[in-house]
Amino acid sequence: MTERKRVLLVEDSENDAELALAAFEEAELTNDVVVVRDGQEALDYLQCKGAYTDRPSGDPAVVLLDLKLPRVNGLEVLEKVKADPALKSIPVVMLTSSNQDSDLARSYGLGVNAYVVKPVDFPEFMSALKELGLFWTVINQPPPRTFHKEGRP
Amino acid sequence: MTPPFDKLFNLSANPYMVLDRDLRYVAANDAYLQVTASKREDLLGRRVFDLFPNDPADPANAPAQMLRDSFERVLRERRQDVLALIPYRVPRHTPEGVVEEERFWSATHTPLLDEQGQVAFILQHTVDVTELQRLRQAVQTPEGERDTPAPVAHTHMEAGVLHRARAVQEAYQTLDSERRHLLRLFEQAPSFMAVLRGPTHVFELANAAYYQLVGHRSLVGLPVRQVLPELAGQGFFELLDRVYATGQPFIGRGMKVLVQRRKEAPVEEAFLDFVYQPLLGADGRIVGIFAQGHDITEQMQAQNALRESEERLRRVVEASGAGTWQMDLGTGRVSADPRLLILFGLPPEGELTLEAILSGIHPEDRARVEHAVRSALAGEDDGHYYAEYRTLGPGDGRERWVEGRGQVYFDANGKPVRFMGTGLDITLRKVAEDEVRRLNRDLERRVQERTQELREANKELEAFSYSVSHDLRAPLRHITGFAQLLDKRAASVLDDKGRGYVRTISEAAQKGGQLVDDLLAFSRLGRAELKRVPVDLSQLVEEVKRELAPECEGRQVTWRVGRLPAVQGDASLLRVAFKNLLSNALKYSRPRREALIEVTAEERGGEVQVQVRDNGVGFDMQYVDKLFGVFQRLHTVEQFEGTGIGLANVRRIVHRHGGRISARGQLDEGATFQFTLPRTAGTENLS
Repeated sequence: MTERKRVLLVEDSENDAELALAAFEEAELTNDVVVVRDGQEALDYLQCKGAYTDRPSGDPAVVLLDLKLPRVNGLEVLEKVKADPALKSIPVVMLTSSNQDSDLARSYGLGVNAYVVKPVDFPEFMSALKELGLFWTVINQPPPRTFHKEGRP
Repeated sequence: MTPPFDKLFNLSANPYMVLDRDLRYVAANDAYLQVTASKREDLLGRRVFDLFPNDPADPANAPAQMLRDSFERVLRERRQDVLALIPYRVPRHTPEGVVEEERFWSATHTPLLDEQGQVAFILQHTVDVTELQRLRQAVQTPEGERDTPAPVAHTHMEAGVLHRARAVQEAYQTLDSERRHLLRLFEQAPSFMAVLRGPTHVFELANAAYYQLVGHRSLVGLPVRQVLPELAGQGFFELLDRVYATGQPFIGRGMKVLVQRRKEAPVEEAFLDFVYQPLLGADGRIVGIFAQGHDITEQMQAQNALRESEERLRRVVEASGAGTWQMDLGTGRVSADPRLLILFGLPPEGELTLEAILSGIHPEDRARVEHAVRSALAGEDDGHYYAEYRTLGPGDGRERWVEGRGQVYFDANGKPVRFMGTGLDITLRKVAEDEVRRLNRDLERRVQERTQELREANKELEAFSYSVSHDLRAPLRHITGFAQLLDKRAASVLDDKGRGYVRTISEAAQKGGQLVDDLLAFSRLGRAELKRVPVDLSQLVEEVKRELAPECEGRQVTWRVGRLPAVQGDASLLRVAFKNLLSNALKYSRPRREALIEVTAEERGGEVQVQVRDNGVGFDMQYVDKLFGVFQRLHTVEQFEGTGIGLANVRRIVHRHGGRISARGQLDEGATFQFTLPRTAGTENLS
């Protein structure tokens, strides 16, 4: 059995996760989202390890990655993903409140696919997340091995 | 009855004549006129050597010189002088007229003294000995050549007398020329000489050097006390008296005398080496004193100057606390004063050697000192020696620091002959220097520590800004987010007041987010690197004006922008500064029916001074200091919106460009902001 979750949201803040889900809900994407709470969990999920050893196979269409995370931070997750031949083709989007040049530079340097600063203004935040979800799950053509809405690998 | 001496004089068969001191004829008797073929009136009043100047046959004119010498002797010595034989050509009356004829004379010159004992006249008595001379010559001529036989016995006798007379005369002449020679030597001698006669030391003779010593005053014939009165009380007269009385010569060395060396001049100090030598008469009694000596004033002065300078040097060296040493490079002998010996812990007595001194030097420093000494002896650095080293006192084992200085002296061939110098105890200085070095090291370490601390503090600050950007913005976003979700979901169940609260929550959170963003922007302004390029301020102001156009909508705004030069600066930062200033001007002139905003600039000493003036609400000058502070506001948000970061940003930007900013204003009378920017690249200010 394959899981049809197409978005991996890595977010330690419960509030942010909930707000993001609220946005996805408006875009009717809720069922396609998996939320993990730190970098280690994200890596476990992607590599099917630890608590995710038995999860259905297949890669998410996009990883929405916060920068500041407990245990393994966002940049470290990004680095490991892009260094892993099995994972490096998975699109990773940084979704963070940091607009620091250094974070931008390091993320792109590690091969991030997009970098989105969470807008402070809530309506803007909502629309940004909706558009993001729709773009990566609907508009963008993911690499092979990715879950499809129809459930085809 | 007194015989008529005039007649006697005239009638005498011997030629007589009388000369005055100038050797002018005063009288001549008939016999004289006869033998000289002269007339009395031609002679009287005229000089004898004018009338008989020379003998044409004898260019050297020896007879005339003999005569003259004789007269001078009489004048000088006031004694009779005899010329035993003198050939002299005289004119002679013959039936054929006057002819010149050589005749031989014997002349006696007798002084006639006046009342003062000076020679007034000289009486010449001449005997014509021509016949005798001829006779003598005839005797000496070989027999066969004799043409006139003579009465032998008588002529022999006369010839003998004549011969002796001639011999005496010749001896006298020799003597006289020697005497003249000696006089010349005396006169020209480099040492001063004088002959003093009698118990009152009357000058009889003094040479040129003596005259030079006493200033060319009249000396001869006068007693010493009279002509050298300034010597009274200096002991010289007493010395002369003693030499005269005892016959014991006196030798004076480097004696000081105060003497008037020039006429009318004050007395001067002179130093003399001299001898007072008693002169003995024929009977062995003391008749006078011969004074002879050297003026050594210059040498003495030089010596004194040398002594004084040596003394001064000695005092200076003593005052410096330095010990002195010197080394004779010929003998290798070293001498040193006690101060130096103390430095080396050496006993104050006994033979010193260079080895002994070197062995007193700390083993670690010895080679270095030896090298410095060798270099100096080799003539390096003009034979100058300098070394700082430690010594170890063998007695107390105390370590001392010594500063050694010295100089090698070379002879004309460049061979080192003498080496001398000083040694100074610089232990205290060395201790102080070590202390300074230690303090410096300590200071350096502390500076490094502080720098490290500052670096860490800076890092912490950056980490803080980072966490502010992340952590502080997140809850604010959550508040807005959930407030708006609440508004969306529960609007229907809330009353107006409830909906108002939700709106306020959302707005407050948004305001908080804005503050955080502003603060982050401000902190980035301080850290971002300044990219200096030429910036055209006119163009910049035009662009900012365009950006602000929306804020001017519906308002009457008059811009007066003067000619603005180009400056050297960071284009984007300057844009932020101008945007802040111009938007402030617009904002605070909002209550005016017509807003008037002026932007002008002038160049002044390498700087550009920019002025932004508005006719807005102005401010009270007592709050001027708060104007540029972060989050400092002079109005409420209700009056004028804003977070209070704008002018702080402007000031930071101006300071980072090396400029200054100031504000002037009055309540309700508008505000003026003035700031400077460097015309060309200035130093970056990190504030």
